[in-house]
Amino acid sequence: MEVNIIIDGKKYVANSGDTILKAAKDNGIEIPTLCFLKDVNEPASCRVCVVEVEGMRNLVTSCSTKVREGMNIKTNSSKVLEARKTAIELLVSNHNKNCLNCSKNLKCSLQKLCEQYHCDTEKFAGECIASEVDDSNFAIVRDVSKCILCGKCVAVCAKKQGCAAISKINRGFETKIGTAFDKPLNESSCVGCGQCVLVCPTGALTQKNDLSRVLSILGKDDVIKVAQVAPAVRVSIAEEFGEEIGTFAEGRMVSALKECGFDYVFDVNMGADFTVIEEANELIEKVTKNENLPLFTSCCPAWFNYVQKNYPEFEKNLSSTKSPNEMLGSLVKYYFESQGKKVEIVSVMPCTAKKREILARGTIDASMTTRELGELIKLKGINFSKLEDSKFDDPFGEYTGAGLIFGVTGGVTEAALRYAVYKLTGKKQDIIEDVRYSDGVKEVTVSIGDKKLKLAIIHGLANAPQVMEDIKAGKKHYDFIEVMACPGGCVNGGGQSFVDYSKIDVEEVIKKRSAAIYKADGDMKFKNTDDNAGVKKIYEDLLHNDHELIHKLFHYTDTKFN
Amino acid sequence: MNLESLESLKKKYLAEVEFRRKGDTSGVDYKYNIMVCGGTGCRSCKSKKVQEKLEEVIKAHNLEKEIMVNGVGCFGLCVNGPIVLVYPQDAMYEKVSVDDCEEIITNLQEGKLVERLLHHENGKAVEKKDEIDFCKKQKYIARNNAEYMSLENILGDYIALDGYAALHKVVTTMSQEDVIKTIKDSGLRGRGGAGFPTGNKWEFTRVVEAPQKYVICNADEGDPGAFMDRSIIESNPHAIIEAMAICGYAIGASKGFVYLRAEYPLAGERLQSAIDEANKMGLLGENIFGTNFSFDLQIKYGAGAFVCGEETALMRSIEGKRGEPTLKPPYPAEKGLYGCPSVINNVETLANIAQIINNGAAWFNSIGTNDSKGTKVFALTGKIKNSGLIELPMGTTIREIIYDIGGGIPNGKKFKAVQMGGPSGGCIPEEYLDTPIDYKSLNDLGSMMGSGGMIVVDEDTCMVNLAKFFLQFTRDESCGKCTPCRIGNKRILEILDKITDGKATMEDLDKLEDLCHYVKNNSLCGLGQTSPNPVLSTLKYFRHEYIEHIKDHKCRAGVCKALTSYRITDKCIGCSACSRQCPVGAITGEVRKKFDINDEKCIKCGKCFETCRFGAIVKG
Repeated sequence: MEVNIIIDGKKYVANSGDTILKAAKDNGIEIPTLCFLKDVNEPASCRVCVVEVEGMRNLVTSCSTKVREGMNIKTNSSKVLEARKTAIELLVSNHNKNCLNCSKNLKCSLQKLCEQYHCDTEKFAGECIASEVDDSNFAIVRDVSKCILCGKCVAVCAKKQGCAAISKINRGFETKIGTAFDKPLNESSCVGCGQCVLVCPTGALTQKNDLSRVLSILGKDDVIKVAQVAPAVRVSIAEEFGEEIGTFAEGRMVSALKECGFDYVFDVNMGADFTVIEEANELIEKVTKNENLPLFTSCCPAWFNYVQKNYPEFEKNLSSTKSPNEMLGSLVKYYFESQGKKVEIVSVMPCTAKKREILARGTIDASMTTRELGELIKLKGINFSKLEDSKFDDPFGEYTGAGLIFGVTGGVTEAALRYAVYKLTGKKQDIIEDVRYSDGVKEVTVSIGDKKLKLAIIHGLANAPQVMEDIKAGKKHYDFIEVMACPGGCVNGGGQSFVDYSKIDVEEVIKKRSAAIYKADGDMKFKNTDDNAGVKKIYEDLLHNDHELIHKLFHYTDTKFN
Repeated sequence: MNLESLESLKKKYLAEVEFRRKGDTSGVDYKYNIMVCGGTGCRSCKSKKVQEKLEEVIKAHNLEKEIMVNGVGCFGLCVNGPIVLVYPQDAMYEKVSVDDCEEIITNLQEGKLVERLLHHENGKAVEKKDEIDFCKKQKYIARNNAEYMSLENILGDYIALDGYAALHKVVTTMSQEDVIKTIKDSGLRGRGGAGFPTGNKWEFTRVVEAPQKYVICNADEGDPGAFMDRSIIESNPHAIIEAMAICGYAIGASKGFVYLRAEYPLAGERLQSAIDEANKMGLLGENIFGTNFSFDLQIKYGAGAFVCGEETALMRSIEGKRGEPTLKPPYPAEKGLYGCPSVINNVETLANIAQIINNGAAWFNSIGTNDSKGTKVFALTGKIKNSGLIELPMGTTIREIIYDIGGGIPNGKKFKAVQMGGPSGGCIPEEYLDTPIDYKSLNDLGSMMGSGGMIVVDEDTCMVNLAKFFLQFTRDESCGKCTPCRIGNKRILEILDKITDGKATMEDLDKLEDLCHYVKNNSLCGLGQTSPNPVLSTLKYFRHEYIEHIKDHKCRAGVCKALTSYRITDKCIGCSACSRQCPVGAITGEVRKKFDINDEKCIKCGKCFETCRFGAIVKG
């Protein structure tokens, strides 16, 4: 049902179930908010989104008040602006204002509002919550002195990621976000997915910055410097330079890395193609032997960590096939070291949890996020938008659509199916829509020849426990389960570019970045791993089809992260 | 349980109750009944020991058959505890210690009272408890019969006094609509704070169709100084159980929770044993009174966060979540506990229910004022002679409470104000003493009924400091969810600190007032929306004190240490009493000569001021 409303003197039609915030946004009217995250965190607690509604004694929070027929709303009256200003000034009075040293400087929502509302940051100067930096975690750094208690991180962690590693503790002015018993983050249930970092409006939650480590590698003369880039980075990196969400910038990204000083830029997509082959074979073997089913994907390090922390009984079900990143890293090391050369590898990932994977596995020397790559490019003074396209280097630059789609939820499954169907039936099926993005858990049964495989695809860790419990209780049976910790998969990874969720919903972001990946996949000549001539060449020429060597390079010998 | 067994129980225990109420000896075989208060207040002054000693003495004198000893619920005059009641004389002893027990018993053997233990007014002992000023104007509904029920036979005595008759009447003869109409017609409003009409609350919940609904009793009494809910549960737990079952029937709920703060162990113990007893007797559980109405009751303990008295935070706490308020709407009537329609009533509200059913809506409606019906229990504390719990018809004036019941201000001091409604309320100055107490008039004065805390302050109280006390409380007890309450209250407190430290400017005063209005108008829940009231009301009635602190660096009450200094005048005879009391050795001098205070050493504790018998020490 539609209702007629007036916003700032103009007439609009809105849906009757909508909030004032939504109705205003739909009509291009901006109302600031710090705590609102659609469907995830709607506490109406920051009190920044207040508006005036005729007939109401007090201002109302637009994020929680529904529109009514005839409602007369003022979003920018003096009363409204004054109240918003006071709310921001109060927040900033209890905020660590060391902005120049903050990694969110110029990207901070509180800072932006302070500027917009001409706030006097000293008006309510008083006692501040003490700075308490927790950098115990491999990927996430917390500083409570920058926290404004919007609660988005807590909500995302619990509702989307099912980890509930952090929560509000204490009360009154002493309230802060902390872990159970206020222990360091590395002793909590945190798996390092970084979704909290994506939603944090300030610098209270940031990822560990490895830029100095990368710069020190780049400063070395006696090693070969290799960068290897994950599939999803290429559809987000341009956002660091103000371009549209979901801009496909693979060529410029490669050029930028070259200009940064890397000797070789390799593509993790190719690593993904290897993962497809190894994992498909692993699946066929396990299904044939009916052993340790379902087989879980293990390429998402946050998921790997989640299983270890919450379902250790399923560790044996995690695929032994290395993640595309580790796969390629091992190959690169082997390739150069077998020629007697020293090599150092920096991987560029849409992911914060990869920082833990490389630490534990010890092959790759540094892992930076899409955001850190953006910082590096800016630091090097490279004009990203003016760059010409370049190609990835040989021999690890050739990939198929199958490798590329690892960056979206359902991608690993689709890639493996493309390959397996061909191997078992001789038919090439390039697009398997059934396994692509859907809310929550997707279950698919596929027939390959005379075999029926029961698959499940999960993204957003909060969707995992039900499936795990069902398997444990014997209520459900699956052969293969793909899990990506982040909603939407790596395109929405914790290391991707920051997005202003007050302007665009996360679903929309996922859609745009995924569309860029699928478009590139659609444009590719080869979509099936089997068609990757480079891969075949490496199996034959570099590895001489030596099974023992292949197993050593491409499979984890233990399922433990150290 | 059915009507017959209920009536036979009533018959069985009626004699003992009638003996206490009316002195009717016909049904009992003992001559006297001594009842020792078993409320938390008296227990903390060793009333349990007194009861044991009395029993011991009786045994020693072989008087077990003549004198009965029981525990009894709270009588209200807590300041004079331990309280001991003596029936059939209907007398009240005060401040009874174990040393008094022998005398009490030996006197009683001869039918005599111990005069020195009786309450004294104008130098005369008052023999009957109902004749003391403290009791004269009181009217008991919520605290009804507490002084006649023994703690040892709490269910029996309750039934003897018509307990569970209302529940029987409701489930066997009334429809849900009838019950709600009766409650609506009675005009009963919530006693927990906001004063929402109880019948409407029930009706809103009844009309929502849902497979599961809940009745919740809010026993998270968190206002500093308020303890009427604790007293009701400790003295008469079955009244709450019965009312909750009636509510359950009226709204269609089969499950209830009492959210009780864990700081009330005695109330928890008594309520739990009452629930167990009610279950055993079939007054709770399946098919109550043979009908198809079933009702289960459970206690949930709160960890003591003030905000959990706010209904949405309370429900989150029962659910095992962090006690944080959530937005309304949805109201509990639509989506309450575990997402199910729920009624939340405060203890005192529920304590009225059974009597409204038994005596009819018109009876209740005839008590009180136009907009506020029935009685209200107040916890009268502070600078007042008779501090304790009192229950009065709505419409009683503040003056009557303070002077007639409370006995006025002790030590000849002058009344300054009364803070009503706890940290959410406001202070009321002398010129409004004749205001009749009801929801509206208190709101109009910038105060509120709240849960019924009344803190009387005299000329020795600094009003800025009083506001500070409450703001310290809300700063600590805010749940921390919304910006205005979490940070705003802290900043308000900081400005108040500046004022009492003599460091504030007049601009700070404006900032203080603006910020108070901001927090009041923009906070998410009732806690933040009312937390600035103590500041706003003191600003309204005692602004001059604020200005004195700022401009003259003066605290007229001599409370704010930074603004107070002590001086010894020529009246000093050099007795040295003050210097011997001074904890920091700031006072020196020669005996029989004028002493001096070293201002740098002085910590402004005021000990010297209190000690000097010659009025030689002045503060200012």
